[in-house]
Amino acid sequence: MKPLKTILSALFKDPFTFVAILWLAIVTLTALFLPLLPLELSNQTDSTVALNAPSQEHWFGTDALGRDLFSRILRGTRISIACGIAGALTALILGVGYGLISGGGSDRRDHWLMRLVDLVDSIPLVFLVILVASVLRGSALEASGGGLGVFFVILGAVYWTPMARIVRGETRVLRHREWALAATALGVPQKRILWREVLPNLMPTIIVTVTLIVPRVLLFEAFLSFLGLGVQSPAVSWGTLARDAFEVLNPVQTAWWLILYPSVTLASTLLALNLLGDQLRKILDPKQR
Amino acid sequence: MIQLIVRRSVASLITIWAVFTISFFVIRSAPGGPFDAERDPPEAVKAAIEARYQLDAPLWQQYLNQGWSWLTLNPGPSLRQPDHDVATILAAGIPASFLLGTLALLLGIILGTILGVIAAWQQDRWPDRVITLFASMGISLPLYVIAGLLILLFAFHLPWLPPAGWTAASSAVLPIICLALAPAAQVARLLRSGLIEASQEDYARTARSKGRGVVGTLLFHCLRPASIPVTSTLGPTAAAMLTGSLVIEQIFAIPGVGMHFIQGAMNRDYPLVLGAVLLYTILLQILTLLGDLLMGWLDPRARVEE
Repeated sequence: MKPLKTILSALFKDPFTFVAILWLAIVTLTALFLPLLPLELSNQTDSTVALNAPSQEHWFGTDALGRDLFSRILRGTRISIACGIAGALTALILGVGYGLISGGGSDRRDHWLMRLVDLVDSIPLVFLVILVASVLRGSALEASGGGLGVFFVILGAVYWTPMARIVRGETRVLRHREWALAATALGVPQKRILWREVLPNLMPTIIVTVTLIVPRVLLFEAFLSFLGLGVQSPAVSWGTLARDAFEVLNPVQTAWWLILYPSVTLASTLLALNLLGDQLRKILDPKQR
Repeated sequence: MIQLIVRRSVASLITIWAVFTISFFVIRSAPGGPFDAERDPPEAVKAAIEARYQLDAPLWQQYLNQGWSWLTLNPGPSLRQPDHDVATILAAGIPASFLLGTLALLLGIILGTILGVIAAWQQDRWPDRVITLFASMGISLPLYVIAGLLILLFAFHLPWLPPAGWTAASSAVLPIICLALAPAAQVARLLRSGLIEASQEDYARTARSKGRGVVGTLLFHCLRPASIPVTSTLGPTAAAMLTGSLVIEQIFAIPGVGMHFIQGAMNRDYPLVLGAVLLYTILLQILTLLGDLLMGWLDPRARVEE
């Protein structure tokens, strides 16, 4: 893998990628340092300012209960970003582990493990996830605060198969390279070769794949929360904000800001992540050059 | 060909069985039953209810019973609407969902093809750039964002179309357009790169040297090979549309299968949810098989069995 400095300078050279990284940095820092921001107002309901349009006082307007939308979006950032990262981590661990075991083993083991992945891929997982989410609703686990943790894992579990396929394919190629054969000839055990020799060479592919999984998890979180099966009130995510917006959508009084601002925040984060992923692929993947 | 269909059907049956098994055990592991919301009934009443829905039998027996009743298409009553059969409830939702899905898929393919051809024809000029931008937005934006903006614009700002409902033909316009945008973007993207690649092949150059125009070459010589990658993603696209239809049916209040599914999931109507999951699984298997058959027709090389 190229040194970090080269990668970074290549990334910053493209102005669009630079803006994308800047935006992602702002979002991540907001999520991390949220408790330090002066946000004690965000959960205060105040019916006198319910559904106010954006103004000096409330930059993004207020929702049906008079809460300031700007601070609610900031609060939502935390859970949305946490979902994205936790989901991508789950997919990373499951996918890389499975891919290494499948690609690094005998042909027969590889064959059956990959048939299992085929089976998983042909299942409409989204619907099963909704089923699991409905089972989790109101359960003791959720009441104890563990529901959100399970939710993160579920999100990641949906997207592990592409990672497993990619890692498995590369592992099968790399373990037959000369240096891997040389290590085998020297008596290095296969497990060690996979872990110490093959895995580091997989890093560029893994980084690119993870970067592209994060936006998909974010999108999925927004989807589930929008349907009311994901993050539950009083917790806030970008998906639940959109759900709240649609609940008060009516032709008499159009609260357009409730739809527009959370949507734009989510959309620009997704676009930035996709852009960063594509750019990383161009830089890290030698086949692309 | 027949061998392919048989083999794929067997694989599909295994998938459907796996989905049924997983769903069954996920549901049974749920803490609390579907009747918890009501006041705690006397023991005898509770036992009678459990006996009626066969919740008192051993788990493996329930599993076999359930499996058999689904096989014979007689899944029994819904837990939340005891007067209605699960099959009847789902069947009532099918026409709306089917119409919405089919029309959106058709519109998506037609729109995507037109945009893809224009983008490949005008490669690197402004129409291409606009279409590429539209395509990447269509793929990366959540459906409710698109739906919300379209409702704000065409239902409230310009009162041309109803914002929700499923009564007049005009109420179907917005949901169909919303659901069609993602597949259109996907088709346009794949077709554009496929057409550009195909137009650099020898046969395309030969066609042009015989006097066929650029558009003619694209349409009559390059479109067929370029549509192979599009066809191969029909399965995932259909899956994404099924997922999307859940959101769309919710936003536009369309009484389809998706709405029953979400409601069932919300109030734990186990047979109903299970039925909807199975229905979606079967539909997806059929669509994937159709996509593979279509691919064999488009690309003779794909017909050869490995």
